[in-house]
Amino acid sequence: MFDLTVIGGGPGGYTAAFKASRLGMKVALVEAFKIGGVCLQAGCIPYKALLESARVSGLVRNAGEFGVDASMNGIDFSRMMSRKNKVVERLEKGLAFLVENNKVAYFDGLASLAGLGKVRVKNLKNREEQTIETKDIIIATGSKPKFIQAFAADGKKILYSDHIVALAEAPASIAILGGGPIGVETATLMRALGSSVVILEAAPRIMINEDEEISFELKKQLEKKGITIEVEAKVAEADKKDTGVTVDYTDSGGDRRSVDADCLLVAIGREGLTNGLGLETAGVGTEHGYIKVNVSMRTTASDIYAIGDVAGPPLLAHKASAEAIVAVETIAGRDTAPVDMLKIPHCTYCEPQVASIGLTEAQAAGEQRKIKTGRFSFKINGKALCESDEIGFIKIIADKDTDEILGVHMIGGEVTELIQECAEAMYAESTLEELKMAVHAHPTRSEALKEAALDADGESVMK
Amino acid sequence: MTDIIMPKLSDTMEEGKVLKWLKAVGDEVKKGEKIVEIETDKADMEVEAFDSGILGKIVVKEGETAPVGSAIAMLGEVEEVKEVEEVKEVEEVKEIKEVKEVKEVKEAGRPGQVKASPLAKNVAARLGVDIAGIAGTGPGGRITKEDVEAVVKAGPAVGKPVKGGDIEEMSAMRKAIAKTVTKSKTEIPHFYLTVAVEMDKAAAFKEEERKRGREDVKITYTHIITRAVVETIKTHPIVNSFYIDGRIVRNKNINIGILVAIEGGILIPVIKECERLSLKQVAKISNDVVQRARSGRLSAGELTGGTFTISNVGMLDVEHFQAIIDPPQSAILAVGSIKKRPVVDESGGIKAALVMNMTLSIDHRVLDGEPAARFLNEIRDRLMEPEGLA
Repeated sequence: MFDLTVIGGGPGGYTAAFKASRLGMKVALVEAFKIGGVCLQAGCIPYKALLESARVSGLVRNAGEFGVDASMNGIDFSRMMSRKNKVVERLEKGLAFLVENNKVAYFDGLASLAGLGKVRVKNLKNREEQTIETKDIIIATGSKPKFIQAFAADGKKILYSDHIVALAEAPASIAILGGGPIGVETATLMRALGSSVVILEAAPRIMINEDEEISFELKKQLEKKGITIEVEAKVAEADKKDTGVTVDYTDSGGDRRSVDADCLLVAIGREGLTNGLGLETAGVGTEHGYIKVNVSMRTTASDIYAIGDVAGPPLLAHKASAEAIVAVETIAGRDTAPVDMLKIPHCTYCEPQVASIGLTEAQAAGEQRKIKTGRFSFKINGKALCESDEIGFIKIIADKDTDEILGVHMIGGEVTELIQECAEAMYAESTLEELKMAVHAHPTRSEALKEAALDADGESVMK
Repeated sequence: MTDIIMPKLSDTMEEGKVLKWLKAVGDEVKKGEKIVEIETDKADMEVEAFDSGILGKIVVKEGETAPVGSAIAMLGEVEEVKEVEEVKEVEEVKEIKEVKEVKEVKEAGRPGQVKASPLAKNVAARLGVDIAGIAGTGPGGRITKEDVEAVVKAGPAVGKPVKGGDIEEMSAMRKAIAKTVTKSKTEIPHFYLTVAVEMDKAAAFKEEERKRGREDVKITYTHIITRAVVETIKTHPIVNSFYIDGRIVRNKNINIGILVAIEGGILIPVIKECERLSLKQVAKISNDVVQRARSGRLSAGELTGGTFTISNVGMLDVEHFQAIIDPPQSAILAVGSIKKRPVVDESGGIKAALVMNMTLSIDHRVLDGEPAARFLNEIRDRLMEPEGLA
């Protein structure tokens, strides 16, 4: 009899398992494939590892500007991939060690709910089945690429993101359906590998969830690299041919066009992994394809919790692990605070990087409150100039009356690290005043954040 | 340096509001000199200095409230005044130490030492919320923006005005009235008896007494009714008692409270030891306290100690009404207007007579219907034959 059974070994699941174990519970962790989930096996980590190769290639290309004599002879695809695999393996080993160290019982198999306090586990290799008895259950099965019949992936000509990280060679050309985070990260990677890249986005701008100014700046910068971006492109179908794939679409002007590429990446969103769990029988309700939960991560069934991607957007690893803590502390009867979705940082590792937290200017303005905005460009930031990487800016949105930090939006080098200062500031309910008055070291990119905060009150001395 | 403390100016006073400082810091103050105006639950009063000296420091500013017994100012000798600032600093250091200890036991801090996020402080300041009283739900019990907004959202307990309305703070007197009548109506099981009294003889008696008396003592119906009540209480002493915690407390003296309407509320000045007073003495004392009640110059002692209350709204054309007993008293007499009304006389004919209705409110825990009715009838009889009331 376990105190807690966690279904799914991604960042939500393993965090829940380890935390519960630390609180003295007897924990089972069930994973059908490999520990780490999409994050470690096909998402965050492999993408970031591959994109680092792209970044280094950029540095080598520009080495002459730094007085470094080097020549760019291209990226060796297989060495890039094996380096990525090493990173993944190392993190896998780390997780396996933590499973052992935390005395978590690891079950290799596909789980389903089998009545009150019971989880059935079916091993996918030897087909053996067993039933685990448990007091509480956390479902952390994650998500998968959204399935549309017309663009069903075959892993060769039509791909999902998990195929990208397992490619054997770089395609000479790629069409990307969807200009969201996966689309622009893949575009960045493929372009650095020398592929010709076309992004087809149905919305009026790429990265539709980011602030408008960020979207426009990113589009400009990606286009500078030679990436073709079509917005308001309505894709009708993808014709697979011997040589590749032909994607037919209607452009923003209403003209029918087509693009030929070696392959098509379908990156139009993801959906919760809810199939086969036996949710309905167990009384676990769903909504818009995700498991319905309350602020304590409880589902509609007693003693069953859901966290991470399967419990709804935003689909982010760190959101899953934050929810894991809430769920486990709730189960343990401890005081806990719900995860505030508006205080979760969003990081995209395209080049230039994009990072944001909180409301966009349009969202903040729509809330019927008085806002003020501050901006600061990396063009006048010493550290950015030292790095010859002065693209981008920081934009901050605050409440005019209370100085509440409503949102921060960044584009440029290392902004995925920089956003964390804002996450902590917003969690602690610091105001513009604290960002303005805290001493920021020189020379750092964080000075641009302080100046953006000062600029919101017209007080920047560097502009 | 001696403290000037918030005096207890009435039995029920728990705190007082400084309305006006009549002396400024550095002013010389003589013993017995009026130094400050205080608003209590009963009345606004001027407070005198108990010692002479120099007003060294004002602790409670105008408009602020302080509990009874707390220092509201400091009185020093001339040389001492300069030390005041230092003294203050020492005290503040002490206070900070105390606050630190309080924090350690995770109790709510004091204003200025409250554990709240910068944003929560900004929002509270903007919305005019006192952050000190809010329970924090953030990390380590910290007050968050949400906590402040929740308090504002909950709103004042009395509810919100309809569109276009305002919320207004009540004066100390209105609060005291609200507290007293609520206590009375929720704790005392009232019942009511009404009688009609023919007042022609009382009217004639009043005119006679007026003619006979000195011109400066004006005799009114209230004085005559007071006398009738006092004489009747002598034969029904139970009415003059208090009900306190399941026991009857019998009062030796008959102290009659006369309800006086004043600007913004009511006051009940008390005429003490009425059993020893003649009509003229009642009239003289009554006229004096009522007049001073209206000009806000009563002492605390004159507003306390009542054993029975009379509320006469006869001048306002009211047929009859039921008054609320002033706890811990057992009864109150509500007197309506005196009017010419048709009355059936002994021969069966109709005559015009001056008629007054009066209603007795009684605490049923103390007195039942029958003795209460006899008490009320006896008052009526005395008013109808008023000669003995002089």
